[in-house]
Amino acid sequence: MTETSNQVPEDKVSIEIDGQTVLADKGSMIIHATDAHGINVPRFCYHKKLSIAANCRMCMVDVEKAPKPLPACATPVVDGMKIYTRSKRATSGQKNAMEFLLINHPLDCPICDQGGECELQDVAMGYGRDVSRFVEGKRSVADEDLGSLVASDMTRCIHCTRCVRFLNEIAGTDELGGIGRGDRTYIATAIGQGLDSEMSGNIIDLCPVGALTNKPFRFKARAWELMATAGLSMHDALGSNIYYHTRHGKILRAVPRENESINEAWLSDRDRYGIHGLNNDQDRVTQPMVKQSGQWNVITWEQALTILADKLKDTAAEEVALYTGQHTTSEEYFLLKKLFDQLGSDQHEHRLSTVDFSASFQAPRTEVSLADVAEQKQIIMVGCYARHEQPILNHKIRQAWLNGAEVNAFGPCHFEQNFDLKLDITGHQMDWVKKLGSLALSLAEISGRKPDGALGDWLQQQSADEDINSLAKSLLKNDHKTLFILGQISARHPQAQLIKALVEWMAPLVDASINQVLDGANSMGAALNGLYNDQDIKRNDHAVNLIYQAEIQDFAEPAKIKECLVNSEMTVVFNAFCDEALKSRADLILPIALLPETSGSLINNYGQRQDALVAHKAPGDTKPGWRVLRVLGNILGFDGFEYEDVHEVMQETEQLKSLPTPVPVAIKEIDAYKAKGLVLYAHHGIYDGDALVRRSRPLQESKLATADTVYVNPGDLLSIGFEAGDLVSVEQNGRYAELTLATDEAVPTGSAVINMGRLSTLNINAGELSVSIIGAQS
Amino acid sequence: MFQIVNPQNTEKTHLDLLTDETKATIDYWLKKYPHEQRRSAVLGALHAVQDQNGGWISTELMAAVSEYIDIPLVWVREAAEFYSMFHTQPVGRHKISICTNISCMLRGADKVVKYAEDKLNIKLGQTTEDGRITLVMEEECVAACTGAPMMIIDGHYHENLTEETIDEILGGLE
Repeated sequence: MTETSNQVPEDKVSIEIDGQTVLADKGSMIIHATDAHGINVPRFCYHKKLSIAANCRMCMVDVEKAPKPLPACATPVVDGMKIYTRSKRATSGQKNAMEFLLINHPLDCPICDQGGECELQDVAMGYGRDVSRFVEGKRSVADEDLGSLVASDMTRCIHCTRCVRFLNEIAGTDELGGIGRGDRTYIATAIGQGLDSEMSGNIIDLCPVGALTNKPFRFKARAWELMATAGLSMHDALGSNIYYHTRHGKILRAVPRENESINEAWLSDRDRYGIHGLNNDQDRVTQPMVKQSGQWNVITWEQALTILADKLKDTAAEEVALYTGQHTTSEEYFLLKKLFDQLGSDQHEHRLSTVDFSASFQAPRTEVSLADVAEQKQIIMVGCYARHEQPILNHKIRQAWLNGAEVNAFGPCHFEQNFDLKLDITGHQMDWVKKLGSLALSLAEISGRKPDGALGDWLQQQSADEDINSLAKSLLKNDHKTLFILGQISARHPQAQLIKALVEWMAPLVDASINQVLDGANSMGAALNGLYNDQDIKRNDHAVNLIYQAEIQDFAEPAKIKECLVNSEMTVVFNAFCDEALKSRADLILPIALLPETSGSLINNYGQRQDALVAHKAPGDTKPGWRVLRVLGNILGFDGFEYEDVHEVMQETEQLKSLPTPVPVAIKEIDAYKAKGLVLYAHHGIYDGDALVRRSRPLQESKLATADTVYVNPGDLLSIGFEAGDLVSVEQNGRYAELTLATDEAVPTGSAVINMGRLSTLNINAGELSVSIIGAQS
Repeated sequence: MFQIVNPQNTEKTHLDLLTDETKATIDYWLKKYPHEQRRSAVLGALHAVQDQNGGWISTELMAAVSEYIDIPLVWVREAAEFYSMFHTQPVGRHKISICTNISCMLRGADKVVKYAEDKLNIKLGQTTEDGRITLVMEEECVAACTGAPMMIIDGHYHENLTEETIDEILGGLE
């Protein structure tokens, strides 16, 4: 006895479960030990990622010397504890809990959407009686409309409170609560306005019964009819791991595939419901088409690729340009680059959302891994609304905040956060950059070091206030983990290089790291393949423009790209969707498959390469992009396009060398931006980012969807001369967008916030900051 | 189980609904608890707003309490809907709670309920048309078993009820 206890490490205790001696962490619960050793204990309310509630009483186990069965989830292990999970007393406790839970639960599994994948059903099979002894009336609970994403059937609720705890602890929105008492308790929101969280769909997976189910998927299929295919999310640069559930080659829903280094057990709503865009066939293209004397004619792939190859042969190489979206597979990027290299053109660009091309291309900085973001002690978000840019990154920032980290933000708007910001420094698009400059100035003054050249001169024109000075002091003092997060608002900013230079100068001074939030699911892959140009290729006119997996809405300067396409001889669209805005400017349309319909690899924001499999059957004559590019390469007679299988291309992309370590941006001169009228902030809504989410009806009907609106500060209404709710024209350099005027205190004075990525704002370029609001229509 | 782990209401649009007296009462309760456990002050606060509002708590007042204490609104609603002492629907001038717990039940509480319902021509949970009396939905044991059956009217205990005493007591209510 003494001998064995000597071998137990200090942080462990030795316990016995069903006669098997195991080590368990001191202070951990019995259920942690049984789970770690594959011993099954039934449970409903316990979830490894949530706090312990111990209210379902299902996980009863028999502990030696304890007078009654104890809940495994809430009983800490003690050295020498003897636990029996299958003894008569344990199983009788479990059976009684089961019978109690089933008293008010409807026994109509065949009509319940959860039937077949229900934890209650599974456990009832193991622990329940075959016939109910309960003959009295059961309770019923009225359902609440929780919005377009989550369906509720509250009569089925067993009050495990996993959903309540998720929204409290993980989502941070505290939207659901247990209302009432005893058998009349029900789960509801405070005021019946539905759910607001960008992660709300996770409560569907957490719900052990059919009380909360996936609304768009409801009654569409049974679990046993579905096949799971491992896939990747394509809506942000994290590559959250997904299982696509398919039937007859069609994706019916997406659920999280656990990956502790990325999405843990969660999925953002965008990643869960984005797939519903696939079923929107309104402007899906399914056959190659060519525009001949103003008419669209369906043609064969052979004809289409011959037309394209002939045109490419007849055109000078530098007259051919490629704009590619940022969620395409690395394999397609690889073949595109190969094609352009042999064509002899370097006019290719994947950074569609960038407007500042004043410095040469640099590899993106991601110095802290996603999981380690949660370990940071000081986080400064620079032009970043992580909650909408990368919901899972925001979850990690929130975890850091819960662990005591201080979070500060600089940006063009007060965004709604699920953590507290120590400082939320806002100003219109030019102002907040100056305020960031004043932080650098304050750091320079305190430390006695100063950046050289134009940046140093520009800093001298800024002035720091007390808040900024105290932030600078705390940054200099700290000897703990500090992280600057450069968000997409910074990346899309007309002064993006200045913002980056400021952060790159400050970070080493305070011993901080820098993470850039990348756009699209695979901009890292596009960068690795070299699909960029040091200049803004939109500034040159090209005879032939290839648009690959992108829509006009994906461009930060949609008005500019429209101009480019109109001025060209031929526009070729390689897309799954082609809406009127693009079609009216296209000459040749080639239908290619989107990510869940094709195989390939993606490289996420943190450099992790992941493979995705085909989960959805592409409609009509749609072909995977890599195959189309391979044939095009062959028709053109280029070398190295003899691939038989996508895996051969994947072997090539695995060999890609990583990008050289970025060097800090050298700022040569700083434009003194002067905006007339209001200063534009071209906002990207959470569900306006790519072709799929724009077409996903559940997302577009949810509360976070944007509208055709221009937001201003209420204080600016008087000088604008219109009322909130008026239909107005927003003018930018002689181009107009018709939008509804709205006010919001979160918008800084002098600023106009416009939702980009929508058809209503295709005339607005994010790079041109001066806008004015004119002429309300009657 | 649930920690205050989230940023709280930034927009405080309901605070004007609270009277100075109510605010003073809430402050009194807030002082009794550490800041991170300020949630505990919710019961005192709900009593104060209920008294201020003629015996019931509206959704707007729950919002005011959540803003004042700085806790999620749903927590206030949970507390208000949990306790039978809080009313979330308008009530009459007098609230009558008849105990139906075990001792009173053994001593004929059911008959008391039936007699009161018939006399007032309303059911438990309802208010008389003239807005005079509300029969509260349920009352758990209030430790007056020696005087069972009993009822509480506006916070005062009335014990050893008979049809005659009920007539007398109800008749005496304004």
